[in-house]
Amino acid sequence: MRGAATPSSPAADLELAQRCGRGDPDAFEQLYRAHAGRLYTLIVRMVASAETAEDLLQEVFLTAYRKVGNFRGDSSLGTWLYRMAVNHCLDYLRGRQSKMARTTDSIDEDGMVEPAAVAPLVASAISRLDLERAIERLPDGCRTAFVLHDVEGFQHHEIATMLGISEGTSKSQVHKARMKLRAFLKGAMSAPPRALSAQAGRV
Amino acid sequence: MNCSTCQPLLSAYVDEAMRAEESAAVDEHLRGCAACRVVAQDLASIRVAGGSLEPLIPPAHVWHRIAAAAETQTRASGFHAGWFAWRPLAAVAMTAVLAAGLWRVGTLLQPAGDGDSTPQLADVVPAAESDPEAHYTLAIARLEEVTTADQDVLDQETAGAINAGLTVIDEAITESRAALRTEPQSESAQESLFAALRRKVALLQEMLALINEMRKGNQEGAARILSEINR
Amino acid sequence: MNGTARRVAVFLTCVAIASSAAAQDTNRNQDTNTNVERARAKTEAARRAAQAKAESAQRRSAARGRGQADISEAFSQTVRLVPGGTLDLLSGTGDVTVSGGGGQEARIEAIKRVRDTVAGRARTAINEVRIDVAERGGNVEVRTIQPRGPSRVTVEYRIRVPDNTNLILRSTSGNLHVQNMAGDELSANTISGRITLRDLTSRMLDLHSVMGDMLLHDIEARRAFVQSTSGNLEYAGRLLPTGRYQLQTHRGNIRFVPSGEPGFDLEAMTYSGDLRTDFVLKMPEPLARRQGRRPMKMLRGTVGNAGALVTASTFSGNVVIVKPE
Repeated sequence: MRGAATPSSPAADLELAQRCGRGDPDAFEQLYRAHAGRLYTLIVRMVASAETAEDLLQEVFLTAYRKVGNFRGDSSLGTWLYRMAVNHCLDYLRGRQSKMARTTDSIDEDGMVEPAAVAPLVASAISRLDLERAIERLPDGCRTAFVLHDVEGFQHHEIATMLGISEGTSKSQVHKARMKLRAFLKGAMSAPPRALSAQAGRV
Repeated sequence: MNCSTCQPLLSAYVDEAMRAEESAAVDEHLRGCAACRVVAQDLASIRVAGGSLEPLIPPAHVWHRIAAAAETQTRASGFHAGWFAWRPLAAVAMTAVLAAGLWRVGTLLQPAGDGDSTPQLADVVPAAESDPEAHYTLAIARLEEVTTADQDVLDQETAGAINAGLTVIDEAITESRAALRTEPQSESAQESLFAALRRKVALLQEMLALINEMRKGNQEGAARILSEINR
Repeated sequence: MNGTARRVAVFLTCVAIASSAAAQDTNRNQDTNTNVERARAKTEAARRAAQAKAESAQRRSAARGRGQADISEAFSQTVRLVPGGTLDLLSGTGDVTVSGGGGQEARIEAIKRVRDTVAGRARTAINEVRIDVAERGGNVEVRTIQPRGPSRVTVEYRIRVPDNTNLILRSTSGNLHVQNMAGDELSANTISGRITLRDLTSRMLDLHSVMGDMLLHDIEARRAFVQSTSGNLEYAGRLLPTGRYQLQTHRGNIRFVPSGEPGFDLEAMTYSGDLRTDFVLKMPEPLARRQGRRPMKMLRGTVGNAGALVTASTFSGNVVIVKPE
């Protein structure tokens, strides 16, 4: 899988976990240095906000610090943390949904944009910044699926398990995300619709 | 197959996740349809671009916050961890239920295995959404307990500057609260109050992080001196 | 509910005992706020005492005046910094200046300075001032360790880095000055220092001070979060169509100078100050009706073709949104 952490032996993982469990501050820092980057990368794109990602990263590591004493080595330490991060993101997104109605869902539902006159996108010509910004603008559901599938490299059946949805839903969410991204990237010339700039919300 | 039946299949098509017969049908349509060919190419490009996004680096201050919060958490569970093995246990034990600074996302720590005698913090602290001000106030009280106790690690100028800053922020908090009593609906008074409360928490967390850095620096300095003596 | 209330009381009694060495009060006070307040007042008193102690110590040493030892020592180190890498600097007292234009390295120059009435102490102190420079995977970390003694120590930095370096700058009371940069992120944090940014492009600016002013000129940022408690804020630059600009101060004034033909949504507010704008605002109706005779404390509206979002909020200061000269 693309987002794989630097490989580490099961023995090393277990030892680090035990040292953390005993409250060893150097071990905890080692854990952070080894895994924070990958988790932060995932979280930022999942929740589309760097500020929230910092909070969630903090929460993940503090939860890990509390629970690492129970780590038995069933998976690698990296995977264990990764799953925790995904769950924290999903909890956050679910909690947010009840408070804030996302206006973007009403916009551009099917995204069949422009006729063939418009030239196709070339991967190498898509600016990283434009793509990151476009991903931020996606509605939560399809953004999650897109990040896990296209960015992090999971398979649909794995995503289905992680998100508690069917494989078919995972596929259609990824498709929906790609079509919206396509619309954003190709529509980059025109000013964003009013509702989207209101959706920018609090920094 | 026409455009509207083909288009929803294009993601699966570019991912090569289709059965032979289905992809043959799509091939057929694409041969004659420039519009769908463009869409297919776009989807493939987006997938590739998504997969090439670079890893991001968390800002350095995040680690400091985590380390500070972990230390507070460790104290809360009465742990004798390396950071403060030299602190007398008695003072720490009494503050056993003070939890980590996880207030920002509203999660709270259950103190480690102390049985039923220890009150659960979740009962004590009002939920963030219903009374955010109380939530901040309690978080501030917790942080102040910890930082006031260990201030002596910092050099006088730093401690002085931090305390002067805290005084300014406290004045801002007092003024905002007074304004809110006169005009409870004032948005700017509310904004000012929460901005000041957030700033105070941030400053206290930074202070805690500095204390840790100093301690680590002192330990390293002490270790260096020791190794020179032993040479 | 009763059981919970009792547990609350027990918990808070423990807090009171822990925080007050001479606490005689074992009164089961059921009011959460009063006990938190008491603990807080105790902490505040301790803090004020510590502050007073520091100030009087400084006055004593200033009074001894002449006969002060004043030692300086230069420091210089160059270390590899990859393009797009990060410089993370933690400093205490002493100004920090960071400029772009460097090659693939960070050139760090500093002047350590110690003042003390006792020459011997100053000499010891200056040897204890450490500047730790570490290279981690193409990024650079600089830490300033100041000794705990009675000497007055400052470390002043001048650093040159590649244009597109990301910056994380933290100081206690030094001013932070950054110019000619085009990095992705810039985060600067100080307590009493002033923050000055000049001629800068960035995706994300995150600036905080407690008592210092913030002066930002010739800035092009996608997102800017500029915050001070008692300082004044000034932001002059080009707004990007999808930009987000948030300026917040408690006591200070805000001066916002968007250049070009800006289009933005504005929300400006003050509690007891004044608001002024050179730009014509298209105001949403309900707000226009509400103004009445009360002096305006809230401005909400759109300038030009909205795109960017600007929030300017102060408590006792003024907000002015003006056109560049």
